[in-house]
Amino acid sequence: MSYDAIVIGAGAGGGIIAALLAESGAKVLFLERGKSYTYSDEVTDHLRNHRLSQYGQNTGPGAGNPRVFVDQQGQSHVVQPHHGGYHNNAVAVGGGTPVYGGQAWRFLPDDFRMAARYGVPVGSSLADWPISYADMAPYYQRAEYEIGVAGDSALSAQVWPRAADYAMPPVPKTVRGQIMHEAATRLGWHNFTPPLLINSVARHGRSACTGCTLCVGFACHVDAKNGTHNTMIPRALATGNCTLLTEVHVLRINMHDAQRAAGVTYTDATGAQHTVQAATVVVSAGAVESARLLMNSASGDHPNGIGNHSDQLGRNLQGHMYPRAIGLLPDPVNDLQGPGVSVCTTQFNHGNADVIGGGMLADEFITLPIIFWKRFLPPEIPRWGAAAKEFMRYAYPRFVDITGPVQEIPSPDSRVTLDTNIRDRYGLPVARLSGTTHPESVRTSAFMFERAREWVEAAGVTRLWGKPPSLTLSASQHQAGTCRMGDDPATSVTNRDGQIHGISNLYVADGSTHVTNGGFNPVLTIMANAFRVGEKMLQRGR
Amino acid sequence: MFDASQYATLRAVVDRMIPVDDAPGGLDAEVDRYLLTLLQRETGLIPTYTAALTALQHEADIRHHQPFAALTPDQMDVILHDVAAGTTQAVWLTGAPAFVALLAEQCAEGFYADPRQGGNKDTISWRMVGFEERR
Repeated sequence: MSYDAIVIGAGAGGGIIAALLAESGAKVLFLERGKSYTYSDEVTDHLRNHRLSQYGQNTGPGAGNPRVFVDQQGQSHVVQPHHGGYHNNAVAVGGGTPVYGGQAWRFLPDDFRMAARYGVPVGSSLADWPISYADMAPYYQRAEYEIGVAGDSALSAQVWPRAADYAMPPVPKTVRGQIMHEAATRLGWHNFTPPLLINSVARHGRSACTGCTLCVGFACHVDAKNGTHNTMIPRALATGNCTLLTEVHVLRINMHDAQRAAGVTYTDATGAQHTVQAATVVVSAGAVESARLLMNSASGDHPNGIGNHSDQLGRNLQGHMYPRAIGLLPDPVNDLQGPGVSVCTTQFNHGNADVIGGGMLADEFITLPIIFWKRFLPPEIPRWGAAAKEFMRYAYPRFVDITGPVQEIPSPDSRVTLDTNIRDRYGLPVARLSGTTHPESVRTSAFMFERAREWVEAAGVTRLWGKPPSLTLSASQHQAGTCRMGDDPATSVTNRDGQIHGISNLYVADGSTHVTNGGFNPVLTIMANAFRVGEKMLQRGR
Repeated sequence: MFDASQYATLRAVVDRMIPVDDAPGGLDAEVDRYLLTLLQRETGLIPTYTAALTALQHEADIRHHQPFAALTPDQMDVILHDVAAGTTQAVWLTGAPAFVALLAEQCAEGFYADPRQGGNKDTISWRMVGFEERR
């Protein structure tokens, strides 16, 4: 079989590329290792979801897909998808988008020029993107409209240059959000309701958010959460030009010659292998698996993996550190209104004295009681006995929680490699995650922790706790950076259009190509960049 | 997976992990049932639990010459605090402080997670903290 294009991975990036190509008339083979995941599949298990994966998850990957995590002492651990060290993102049609919280951030202009603004710290691979905010702005707008973002247009316009309003008005503020809005305003901090990929009003045949108590980590019960699973992927399929195969696993990308990809070999659910040809191949499997697939596709012409001509593939793995400050207000404020996150500030994303970059701060998504117990208790509160129970009863109605993603300063040593000792169910080497982010990320996180503390304190709390993050590898749902884009093949994997240097018909379209990952949840940037890369492919005649 | 005396010990420690006060406690929420349900899925935990419950029985026997479940709540709490601090008198094949931490965490799961997992009967804990699952 031969196609115009093969798209590997039906997540935030791949779903958009597949739709753009199929709508242009291209015959697309769309390969996804997960299953379709909708509310009818949701079992709503508070211990096995994408917010708390204590013993498992509500989506794939399933058994037989381990990874190896190397801790800071150099010890290797074989980890399963629900273990923290796995750094999983949901595997399903739509990738993480059916179960995410859907914060819909544009990166700021300076997020694309971090090295120019701050200089490059010793030991870091901090660099500028080859493109600017102005290059991305039209595609952010496409993502905001075609997938669907609800936000505060007027207050956001004071932060980002933007040509048009959001597609929908913002979600309502919670009681807590209103209190934190007033606190931020007293501090003189510009604050507003965060943009969300959630229907605040009925739109495109799907209903508005009901404000239910199960949001981030779960499939939406009224399909009001906008991801690629219910927008771009249905658009791709509606053309009749796109064949979506689920529960298939791409084993390798095959090369026609050193400069051209020929197609892929994949296994279906029965284990049968298929080799298919295509004029163009797009890799969009997430920052860990995209890098792994390119490495597992090594050949004579590309002995260290495709795109690894300069030993850059798999490096600069990054996500976000999250400082968190929690406090107790004198009176109950927990109104159980989802999605829950309803106030944020971008006051500290840049321009902070003595640290590089910064990050957005916001209040928290609606928090299940068991998640509060596991993650938010003060260290000095006992975990059992009468005092533990009494604290839960007092604190759960009264807590406020400020957190947010800190822009990471990338390290080339934070990386994905192959572990040839551990194999997946198909016999392929698994991803090995090692290294840490750069220490500058910890300094910025400590600064942001103090700002979170300041905000919680300003709300008039009676008790305040939390601690700044320590040096770790971070990737997880915000994983990025492993196929860095750049103009110089010596320091990057793809060019500015997502095309792998030196290979004319092989593209990457997911968080892998992010040079840096902003002080924001990255999904809208992944989506906007996929619109941009898809458009470039069409301009080139795919 | 447990014999009668191990199960009696399990129920006794669940009651000490989440005791009754103005609100119902761990046994009212059937946290013991949650733990049995959990161990059927996470079978790797069974040896840890059986060894630790047996060691708790030995602690009770050495200190009071009685079964653990027959001790007063205060006597049980002293033993559990000692075990959590690592000051044990019986032989522990499994890490004693780590077991108390594990037990506390898994009892909290049975109490505060959703009732579909086998505990939190009648959403007892959610009514206590003011949470409801609303769609």
